Amino acid sequence: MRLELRKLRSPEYDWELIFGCLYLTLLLAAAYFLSRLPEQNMPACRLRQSTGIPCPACGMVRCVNNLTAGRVGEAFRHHPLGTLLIGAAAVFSFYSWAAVLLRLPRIRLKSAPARIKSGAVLVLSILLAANWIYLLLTA
Amino acid sequence: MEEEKKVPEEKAAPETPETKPAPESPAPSPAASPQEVEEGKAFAILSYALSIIGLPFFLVPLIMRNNGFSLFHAKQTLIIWLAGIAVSVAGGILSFICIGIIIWVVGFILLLVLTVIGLINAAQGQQKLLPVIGQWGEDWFKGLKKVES
Repeated sequence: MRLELRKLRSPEYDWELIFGCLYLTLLLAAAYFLSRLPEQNMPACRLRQSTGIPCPACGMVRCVNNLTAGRVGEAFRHHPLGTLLIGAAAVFSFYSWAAVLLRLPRIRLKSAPARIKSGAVLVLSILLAANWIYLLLTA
Repeated sequence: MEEEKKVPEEKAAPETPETKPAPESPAPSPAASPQEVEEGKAFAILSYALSIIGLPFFLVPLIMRNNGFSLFHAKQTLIIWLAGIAVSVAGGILSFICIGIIIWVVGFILLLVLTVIGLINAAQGQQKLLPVIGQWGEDWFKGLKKVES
C-alpha cells in the first residue's frame, strides 16, 4: 500500500467534494443541530432506561455538546470513540474543503490489498468493543 | 459520451501482488447514443428529482424501458430506494437504542448526497455509476434491458 499525491483524473469522482465537502459537512452540521435540541425532545435510550446498561452509542449527544463548546477532554470522557470519529471527520472535511477550493493535488491510496481493508474493519470493530467496555465500566 | 468510457492510462508496471489490479467489475450498461441521451434526459432527471420528495417516478422509465439512458438512471434510482428501505428497517430495528438514530442520520444524508450526484450526472448527460452503491444497481438489475421498439 502506498499513498500518492496526484491531480484529479477527469472520469473519476471527486471524493473530496462528494465525501468531504458534501457528506461530512452535512453530517457534522446534523450532529451539531441534533445536539442543540432540548433534552426532552431527544429520544432516550430504552436499553439504558430498562436495564441500566448503556448501548454503544450512549453519550454521543453529550460528546458533541462538549466538542462544540471546545471541551475535548470532557467529550472524550463521555464517548472516546465518538470524539475520535468526529475529530477525524472534521479533519478530513477541512482537508477536502482546502483541496477543492485551492485545487490542491489529492491524496490517494496507490493500491490497497484486501488484507489492509479487512485489517481496517478489524481495528474499527476492536475500537467499538473497547469503547463499549469503557462505557459499561463507567456507567 | 465516449469520454466517460475512457480509462486513464497508467504507466506499465510489473504486476507484483501489491500493484496487481482488482478484478474488473462487470461492464456497465452500453453507452447511450447522443439522441437517446437527449430523449431520456428529462425522465432521468425526474427520476432523481422526484425521489427527493418521495415520489417513485423512476418506475416509469423502468417499466417503459424504451430508452437506454433513462433506464440506466432509473436502475440507479431504484438502488437508492432499496438502500433507503434498508436504512429505514435497520434504523427502525435499532431505534430502541441510540444507534438507530445514528443509522438514520448517517444513512439518509448519504442517500441524499447520492441522489444529488445522480441528478447532476443525469443533467450533464453522463452515464456514470453512483459512488458506493451504483455498481450494485448494474449487477442486480442487469436483466432489465432496453426493449427495442
